[in-house]
Amino acid sequence: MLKAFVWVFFVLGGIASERCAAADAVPDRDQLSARFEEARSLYDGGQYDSAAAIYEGFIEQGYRDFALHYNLGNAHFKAGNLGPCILHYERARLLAPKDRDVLHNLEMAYLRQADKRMEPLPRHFFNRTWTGWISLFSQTTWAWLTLGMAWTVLAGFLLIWWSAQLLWRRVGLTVVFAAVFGLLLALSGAVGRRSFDARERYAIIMAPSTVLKSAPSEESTDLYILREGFKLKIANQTADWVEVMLPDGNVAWVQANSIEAI
Amino acid sequence: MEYRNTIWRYMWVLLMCLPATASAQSDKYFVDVAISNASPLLTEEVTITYKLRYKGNSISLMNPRFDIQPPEFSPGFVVQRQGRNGGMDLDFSGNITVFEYIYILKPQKAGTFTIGAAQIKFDGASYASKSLTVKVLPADAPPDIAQADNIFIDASLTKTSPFKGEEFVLTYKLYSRYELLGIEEQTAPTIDGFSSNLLSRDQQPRIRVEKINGQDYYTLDLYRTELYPLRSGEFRIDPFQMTVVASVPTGRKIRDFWGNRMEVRRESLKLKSPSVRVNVRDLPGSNIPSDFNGAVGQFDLKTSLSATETTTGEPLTLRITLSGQGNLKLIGDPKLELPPGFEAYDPKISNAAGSKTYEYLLIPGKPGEFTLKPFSFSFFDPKAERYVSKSGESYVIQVAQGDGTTASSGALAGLSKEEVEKLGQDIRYLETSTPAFAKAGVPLLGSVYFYAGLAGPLLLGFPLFLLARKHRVNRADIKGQRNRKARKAAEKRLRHARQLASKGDRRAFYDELVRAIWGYLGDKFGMAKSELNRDQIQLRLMEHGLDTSTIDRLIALLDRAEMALYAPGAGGSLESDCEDAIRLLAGMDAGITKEML
Repeated sequence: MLKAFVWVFFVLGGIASERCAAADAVPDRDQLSARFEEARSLYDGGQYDSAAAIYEGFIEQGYRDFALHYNLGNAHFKAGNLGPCILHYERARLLAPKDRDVLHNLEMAYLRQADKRMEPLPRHFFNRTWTGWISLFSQTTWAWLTLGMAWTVLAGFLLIWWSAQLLWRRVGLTVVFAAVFGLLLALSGAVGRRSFDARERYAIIMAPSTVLKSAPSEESTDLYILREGFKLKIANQTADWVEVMLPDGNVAWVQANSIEAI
Repeated sequence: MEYRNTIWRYMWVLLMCLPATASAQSDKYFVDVAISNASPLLTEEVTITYKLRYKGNSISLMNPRFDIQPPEFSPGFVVQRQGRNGGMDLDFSGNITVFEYIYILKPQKAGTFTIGAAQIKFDGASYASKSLTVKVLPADAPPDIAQADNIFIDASLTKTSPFKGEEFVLTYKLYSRYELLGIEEQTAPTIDGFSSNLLSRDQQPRIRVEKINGQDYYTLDLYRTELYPLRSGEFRIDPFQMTVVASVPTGRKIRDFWGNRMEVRRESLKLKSPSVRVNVRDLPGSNIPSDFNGAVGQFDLKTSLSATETTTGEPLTLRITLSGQGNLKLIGDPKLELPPGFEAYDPKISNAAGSKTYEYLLIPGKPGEFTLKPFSFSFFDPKAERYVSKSGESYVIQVAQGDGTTASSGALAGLSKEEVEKLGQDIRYLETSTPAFAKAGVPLLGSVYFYAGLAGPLLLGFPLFLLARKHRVNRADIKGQRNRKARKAAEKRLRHARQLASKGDRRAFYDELVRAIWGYLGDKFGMAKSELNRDQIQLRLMEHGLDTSTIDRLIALLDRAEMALYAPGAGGSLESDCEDAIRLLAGMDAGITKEML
């Protein structure tokens, strides 16, 4: 009985680690970092477009890294392409929300954006607190926390089961209670963060200027005109049109090809 | 328009003097019709001349009566003016024009029209003209093609697809096989999308003779301009239009006092050049140097500084000279990067042919050593089709404290403080650490691994619970535990004993041996040390069914060992005793364990 459980566990674990190993078929790292350095020397030499092309190539190959998006944003900034610059700074910020360099550069980029910044809509207190809570960690961190709490519960139970001394058994009971509470918190944080991320999707205007319409058709009324680099919240999406929400809460439609989701 | 040769007029007078031999014969009269232009533009007037002519040697016309019945000119034309001319005339082919009617017509619309025959009544007979076909062209139609070979305007470009900002020259040139008599009017096209610079033109147009395809042409440069495209895209430059007066041969030969020659007519001709197309290419959008400000061409850069040592407030002159071919005139002022503390006034700009000089007055404000960064200038080289950056020299300027600037005197003069000056603002530099080059994986949350990780504690919980319970049960049963571990503990002691034996330490060896055996028996039977004695052991062993010989050997071994402990020198050989003990232990354990099961 016991042996069978152990077997099943190890077989499952073995399959999982096998799959992880297969996914990590890393190409020549030296080659990649040499190319990364090349982009830096191009940037230093003022050839911002060529440098941007290299970073762009990495990203197209599927590499997802803060440094790639941040550097690409820098190259676009220097080349004067405000839209892609802000887009990649924002993507870099998603990967490293607290990095000071990207926050500083993003601020600089938004200073160049031609539209005056709108007063954001105030959030409700509860909403603010909840958003602040789930924003503490990324989805993945919340997931790891959940798993950690689940195993801590097991560890607490083991302490209770194993130990003969009353003190240790009490400690175990406390750990179990605390970890079950922590597990519920972490799980709600993870689920909440996931739905928040799915809801809070933003896009950057890439066209030099874009007219926002009242409905998803060319004939509808023009509502706003916004310049390159403006950040909009995505509310709804069809094939050719995207319903966006401005920072002040107003809603309009914009053609899908003139914006790019972060 | 009609050519009249004065000499023939006199001949006519002579002819009139000849006796008239015959009355008019009908077959010798005919109506000739001529049109000034069979393919006029809608805006042009057309002259139609009907002539009654006589072919013969003599004619006597004392009292002729003429009448004309003109054809229907509408819908194509409206008669503007009409007239008649009764003068007898003799043309060079020997035919006599008796009478002519002239109609000046104004075309009403474009298209091909047939003007029917006109009837001229003369002397009781009626003569019909031929009918005419007139093709009225739209007002903006190109000039007649037949004429275009002999007189035309050529438009030429030095480049047909220049880059934005790249200079090229547009030339209009008149070619003519006719003798040019004058220019009535000319209209140069207005050119949008280009900055133009009219090249110097001769005050008095000079006519040259050039040979093209073996034929001599008079040529005249009409218009030469340098153009700099301001925008990219397809452009069509409107045609150059002009009206020239030229001697145009009519195609008829004349024979006169000076011999045979072609009859010529003074005609004003409307000419139009072809319209030219220019495809202006945009400059490449990639790798534009940051200091590029629209210069296109090939340039050289020279900088000079009046001095490298100065005092505060004492100005220096920086001279930047750009020379070369390109749109120098159109480029904006260069941006000068000054060392901190320096000020510069707007530059004095002087233009010369093929060069442009900027003179900056630099005023140092603070003492110290400063580096004036090399001035750099970027332009697009249209031949190499790439951007080129040139930079001048870098200068190190020593600025001493001047007298004039420190107004405050006294001991604290050197301690005047200034605000920390912020010189600029820029984005932060690239992230230099090489990234991990990890590809975006499946997010952990919601993946199989996540659920497996959550299910893990639940699945493991049950077996671990069983394991822990067993552990606790075992721990509670101390006797049983001692029993199970008895042989292992004894063997461990015996191994130690053997080591002691090999060292030759008899006393320690026997001590360990005795402990091993007593320990084993105590553990096995769950007895405390104080309870252990030979009788008890013998009894217990017999209860477990061990044969007496084994028990005796055990007792004997114990005796020997204890003896050796208290009386040094006694006892058997260490090796045999050790082997004996191991064998006895194995035998006992097998017997007792069998019994217990």
